Amino acid sequence: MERENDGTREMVFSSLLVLFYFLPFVLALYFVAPKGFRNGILFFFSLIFYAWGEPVYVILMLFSILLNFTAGYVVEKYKRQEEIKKAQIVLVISVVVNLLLLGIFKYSDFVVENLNHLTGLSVPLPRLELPIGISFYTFQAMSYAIDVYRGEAERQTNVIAFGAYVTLFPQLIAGPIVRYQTVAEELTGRRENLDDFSQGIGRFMVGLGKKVLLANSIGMVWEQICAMGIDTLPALTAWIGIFAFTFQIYFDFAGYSDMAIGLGKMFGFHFLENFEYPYLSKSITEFWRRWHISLGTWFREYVYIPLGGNRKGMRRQIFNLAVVWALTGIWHGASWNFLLWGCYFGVILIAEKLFLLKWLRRWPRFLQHFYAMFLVVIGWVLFALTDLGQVGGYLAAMFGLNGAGLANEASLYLLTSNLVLLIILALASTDWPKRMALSLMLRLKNRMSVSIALQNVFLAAVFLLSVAYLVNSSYNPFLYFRF
Amino acid sequence: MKKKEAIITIAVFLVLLFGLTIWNLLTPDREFSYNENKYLDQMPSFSWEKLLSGEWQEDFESYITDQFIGRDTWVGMNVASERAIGKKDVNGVIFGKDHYMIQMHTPQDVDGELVEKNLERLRLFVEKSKVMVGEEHTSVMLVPTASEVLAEKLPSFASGMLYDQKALLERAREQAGAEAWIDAEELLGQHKEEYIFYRTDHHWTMTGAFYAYQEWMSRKGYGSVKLEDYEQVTLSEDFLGTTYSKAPDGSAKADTMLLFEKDPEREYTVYLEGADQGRQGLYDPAKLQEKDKYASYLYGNNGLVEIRGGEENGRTLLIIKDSYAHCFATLAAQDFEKVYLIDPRYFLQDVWEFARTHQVTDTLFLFNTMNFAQESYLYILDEA
Repeated sequence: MERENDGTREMVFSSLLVLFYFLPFVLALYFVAPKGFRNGILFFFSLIFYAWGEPVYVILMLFSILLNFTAGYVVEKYKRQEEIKKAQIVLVISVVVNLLLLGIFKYSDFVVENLNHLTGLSVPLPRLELPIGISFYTFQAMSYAIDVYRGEAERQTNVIAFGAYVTLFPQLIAGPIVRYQTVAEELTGRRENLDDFSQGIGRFMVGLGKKVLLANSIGMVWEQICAMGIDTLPALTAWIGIFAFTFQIYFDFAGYSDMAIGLGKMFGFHFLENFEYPYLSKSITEFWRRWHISLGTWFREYVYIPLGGNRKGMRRQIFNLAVVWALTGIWHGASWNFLLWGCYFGVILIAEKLFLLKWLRRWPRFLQHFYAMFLVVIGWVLFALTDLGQVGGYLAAMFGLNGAGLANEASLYLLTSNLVLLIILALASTDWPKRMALSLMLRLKNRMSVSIALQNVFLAAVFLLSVAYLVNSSYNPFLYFRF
Repeated sequence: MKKKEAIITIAVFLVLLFGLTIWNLLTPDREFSYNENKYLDQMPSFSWEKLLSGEWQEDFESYITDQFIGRDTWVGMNVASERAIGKKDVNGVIFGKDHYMIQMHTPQDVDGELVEKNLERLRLFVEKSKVMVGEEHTSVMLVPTASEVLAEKLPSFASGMLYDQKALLERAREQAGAEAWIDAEELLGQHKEEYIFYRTDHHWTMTGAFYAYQEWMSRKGYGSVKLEDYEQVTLSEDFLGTTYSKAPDGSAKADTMLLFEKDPEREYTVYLEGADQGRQGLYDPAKLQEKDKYASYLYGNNGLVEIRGGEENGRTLLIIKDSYAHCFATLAAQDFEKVYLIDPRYFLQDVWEFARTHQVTDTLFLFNTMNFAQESYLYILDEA
């Protein structure tokens, strides 16, 4: 994982800057302005939001907007004239340019480094700084021309509205990846309303709490354990560490998605869900239907199905799955461990498709859960440590193969000091809190005022506590930033 | 009904969001935080260059974090909630028994190479000092911190997280040699039931320093020092020190600061940084009104401190030290004609040249173990 920037420069929602400077200002201006100006306001402030951390790369983003807007325009024109071939050529060019930009800015160091390694040359590394969120907005922008070509969305005639779609600050830097067809109508015809706004608030607060109270807190434990030196970790410490990361990555990312979905709702957009309690899964197939749904959907819609999906026989399907999962892996970062991580899931998914899933279904439920979570957690080792040597060392530590034993005093300290937090995290990653809240609301059906008061006190408490954690903490990274 | 519900939530949110925003905008910026004892970041000056490099943005964020209204209250809230879910340490402070808030030193805080260098510098110090003032007048004392001495007050398993001070002390003893080495670890261990460390600060108390002083004096053959010979003056009863500042906790119990005086009538003059004008008295009463009360002893951190007014016996003591020596030296000042304290971080002269010209008769190297392990300025003891 790219850690150089550690969330100090990017404007992130979960910061005092956004909460008490950016957001109030944008909200006020947005709702005071007449409808016709609102996309312009969103576009402009999204650019500022982006420029806060990457002043120079705004140009790249504007280029991407123009490129895709033009591509959509031309594709639609040729289609209308029934010149399908030409439409195809334009589409292919736009896709290639998009991927080229992504390739240059994200993967050039990786490619050059490995070429040097293979050929013995020493071509200097380009060392381009990765533009924040480029993997997200490139995918998002690309979906537009493709949707238009397939006739799944109308052409957008207003470049401001299209710019607002690509840059929309709530999901600009860490998703969800919103396909154009999902918000096409809302871009120009949305109607903000009180109900959406208040639901958006709730969603935003819950996301803020997930990120600041849960992900950041447990993230510190993971950092602490990594700093101890991976080769000397006893098994218990290594397991606490990887569980800490397992929770950190989920609450970090799901919290961000919640905040994005919530903010979107406040402005009248309805994004699709991005997480559906992934840690409740009973198979890896199910896990990937519940984890980072927007990315899975993107790859399914724009890679897997165009390659033929499951319609061209089993062999071809397995090939298609392999391609999709290798790409999914490398999408997460320009490093071998991410590729390995993608392939790891590719292999498991193929095995599940071929025979494992049928077999699994006969297992008791808790064993199915255990199976899925075990593989997910092992997967996080591949994901969390970019150095493959460290991955090996960490796995060895987890299974007591490094000679450091099962546990030491430090393991017991970490366990006892974080036990309550770990239990809270485990419960919070299931749907139990939601079910409890719903049943409580049901019981209070006839005492509406109590129910309303409870909800608002809860949201206010989460908000105030999050502010307290933000004021105190210097540790506030965003794991999914640099993808 | 549905609509009313929505309006209430929106109202709560807008009041919180805009309330805090406006409150922040209307509150004037502070220069200094007394609780954290640090200067706060101010509004960064603007330039296009800084804007394009992202530096201005970074400065602006740390400015608004530092200046956030009610900072201390928010931090207190954070600490309270961390403790409520059973966290044993917050912001690098371990919550021990009997209201002890103990600074947490982990192995990761320490750079092994620096430790090796400093051990070598310690050996050099002893070697040179022996030549100058003689073996019997050369001393080294490394003081283990509260996490080591008061291990029994730590929560269970905490010592597994901590840097091994015992091992470091063992190595340092070898470097210093048995003659120069004063074993603070053992003697503080004998008094661990007493009030020898502050509850809310990382320093030892006057009482802790006194036992070390007593041992050192007897080892050097300067006679036996007895507790009952001193009048114990209370300087402050509401001292909340550095570990409290890091993790302000509601259950903290304020500390008492003492001064030990054999002869309250006697007058001492303290010269800071070679100034001609001295300050009267071994402590600074003004500092007792501030947050960082420990800085009252010998007027806080200075590169060079000279104390005069002690017994006229021709003895001149030079202490190479960290802040643990500040209360210790108030005792030494009473038994030595002159005492010099050198803080390597702010001292720019040649140490041994200084010792020669000031006719030093005794030297003492006094640090707590963790500062010794982490002090990068000890190069002033390297051979020129």
